[in-house]
Amino acid sequence: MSLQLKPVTRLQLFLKEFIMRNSDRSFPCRQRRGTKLTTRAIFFLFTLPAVLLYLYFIVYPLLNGLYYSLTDWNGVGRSYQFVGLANYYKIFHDKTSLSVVGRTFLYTLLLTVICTALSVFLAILLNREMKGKSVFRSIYFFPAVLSSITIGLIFNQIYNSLLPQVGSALGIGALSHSLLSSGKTAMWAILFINVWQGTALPTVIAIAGLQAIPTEIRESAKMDGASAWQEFCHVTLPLLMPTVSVIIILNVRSGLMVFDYIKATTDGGPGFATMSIAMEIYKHAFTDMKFAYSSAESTVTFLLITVIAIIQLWCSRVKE
Amino acid sequence: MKKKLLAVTLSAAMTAALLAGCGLASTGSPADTDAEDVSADAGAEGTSDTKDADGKIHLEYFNVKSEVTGIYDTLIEKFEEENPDIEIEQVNVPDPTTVLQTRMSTGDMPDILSHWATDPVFKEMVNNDMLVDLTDQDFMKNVKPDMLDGVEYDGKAYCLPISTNAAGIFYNKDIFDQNGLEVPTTYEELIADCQKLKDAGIVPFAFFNQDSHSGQTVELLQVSDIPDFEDAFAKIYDGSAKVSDYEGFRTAAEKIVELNQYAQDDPFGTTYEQAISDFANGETAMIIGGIWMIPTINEDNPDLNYSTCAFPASEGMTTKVPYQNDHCLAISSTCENKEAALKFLAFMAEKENAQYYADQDGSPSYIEGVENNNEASAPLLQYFETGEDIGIWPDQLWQPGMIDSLNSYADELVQSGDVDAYLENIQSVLSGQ
Repeated sequence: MSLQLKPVTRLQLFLKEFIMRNSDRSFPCRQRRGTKLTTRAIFFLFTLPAVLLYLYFIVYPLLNGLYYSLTDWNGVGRSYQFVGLANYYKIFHDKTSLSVVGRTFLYTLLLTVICTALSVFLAILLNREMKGKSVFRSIYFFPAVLSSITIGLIFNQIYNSLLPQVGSALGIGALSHSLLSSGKTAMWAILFINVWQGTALPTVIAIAGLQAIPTEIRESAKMDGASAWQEFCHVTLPLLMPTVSVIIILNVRSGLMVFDYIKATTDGGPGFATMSIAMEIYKHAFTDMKFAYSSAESTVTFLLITVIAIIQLWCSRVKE
Repeated sequence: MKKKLLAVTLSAAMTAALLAGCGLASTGSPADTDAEDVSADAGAEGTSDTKDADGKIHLEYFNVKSEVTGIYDTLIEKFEEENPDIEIEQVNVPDPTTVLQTRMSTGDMPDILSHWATDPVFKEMVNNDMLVDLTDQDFMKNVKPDMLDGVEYDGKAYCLPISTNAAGIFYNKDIFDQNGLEVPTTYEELIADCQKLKDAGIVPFAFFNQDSHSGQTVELLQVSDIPDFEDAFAKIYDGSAKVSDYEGFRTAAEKIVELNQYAQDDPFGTTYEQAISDFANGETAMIIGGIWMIPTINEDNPDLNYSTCAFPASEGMTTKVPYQNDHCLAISSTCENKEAALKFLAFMAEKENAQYYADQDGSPSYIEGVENNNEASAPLLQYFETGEDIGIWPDQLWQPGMIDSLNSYADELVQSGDVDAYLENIQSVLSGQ
């Protein structure tokens, strides 16, 4: 194994010396086994800070959470007892929990379908040659730049104060009440916010994906007499599949973990109408003083998302 | 060379940004600054107060009762005049109970906090040694002895109780006179009054369902509808009884659905502040609530001609007024400046200051010698003279964390009208599952 680049900085010079000193023949001739290990060791040392941070901030809390999920700690008290898998048993037998999971799944499905379709459609439009192309692209990307809580709070005001005024002025009964105050319409209102922001980034990804399709293929399809729709279905879409699967994965993840928009608007209400999995985990941990139960819910959600991710990757590999 | 310069500049900028973040965090709150000072000293149990850079002791007062922030601003100013070396910062945030619970679990307790002395979360704090024992303090002698038992744990006092509250119906006297209505003494009379108002085109009630009014009103109904409710909740929790054994849960549920038919337009889109404002400005005839609303009503409309009455029970049942300790002050055991904090509590226990609080808040005080001069709350407070026919707010009897789920189920009940589903749901919450 040899250093491919010429040492430029002093650090690299130092390393080269250090490695050379540990070999009894000059660099770049064949090195002894010991040196291979030492080189590897140095590279490992370089990654150590990142690894340590990752272990401390991601792995340790994960394992800690797993441990707490096997207890009955309420999040505040000094003492707790070990209860084994009792929390997990409760999760699968809690009616409200199951309806929350169902609601989150439905939300995710709708979000993914709408966002993916919309972003591909917008990408095709924004990929055409026209005046002000980059201006339009910036405008459509803008929602992704704002923080989700900010957008949630702004839409909260729109739904609670602005729309009812508009609705009653125009005489539309359905709009005269805040959309967030009825259990039937609240989740749809939040879905709209999520779609509004969630289409921005996938659109840009889809544009990049479209640009990777060579134009010759499209032109040859046109010459063979394919209509725009046929061209899209049989030429563009198959070649766009890798990008589309990335977009789907992003949307599914964002849909399953939806929290910010709900917290900023209805906080799970009215009743339990806008409770999502993430909202429930938060509520159980910090409001209901059921920290251990919440940890168990987190673990189950983690496994659920992992399974979904594996299925998605397998599906997209099969498609390719 | 250019590249190297750019690389170095960027790294320096990044490092500066990192360190700036660290610097800001450590000067975050006054309590933190004290902590830094103390760590430099020997720092025993905080018996010696540490002064900050400007020679003053900084205390953080976390106030969970948003209605009285104005009252405290005035009182704190007076306290700081009398004690120039102490500065108190009042902190009042939205959703204060959740914020406090988060701070409890991370060990970042405020120096002084306000709370409710019989609240389940307060009990949790006492059980985990998070609060300073105030039993032997001189100022505790100012507290009325017979009221003090109600807020003690194992004979020890962990807070200075300030006021108690009572709940019922606020009604607009002018609207009642104009429509020839009398104060209802039974639930049936109340509904008849509501119907008359509705027919006359006046909105009977202001409900703030966005802020858990459903849950609160259900509790109020349960106090009268379930004759031995204190027992009932204990039995349901330990499994020796069920929700279905008590008729009162069902009637309370049916009543809340019925009452909401006399609510204003879009009660789920109405916040607590908005509903009080609607009542104060004469847009609704009544609002169901407690005397903690009085300061806000008076602020919104000082000329409102209103009074209170107990929420009437059904014909044949006894009307009871719900009450609880409305406000108390406690010191956290992690406070670095306990002597200064104790001075503030002593200040609040002085008759003069407690009288000011009682006058502004309208609530009966725990402090000896304080008179209650508030006319509006008189009809409710007469129930306290005999001490019969008052019941503690049910949520004080529940486990910590139950109230949130029960409030959500109450919201669901009002939206759907499905009493059976509601009763099933509260059964699982109240039994601890």
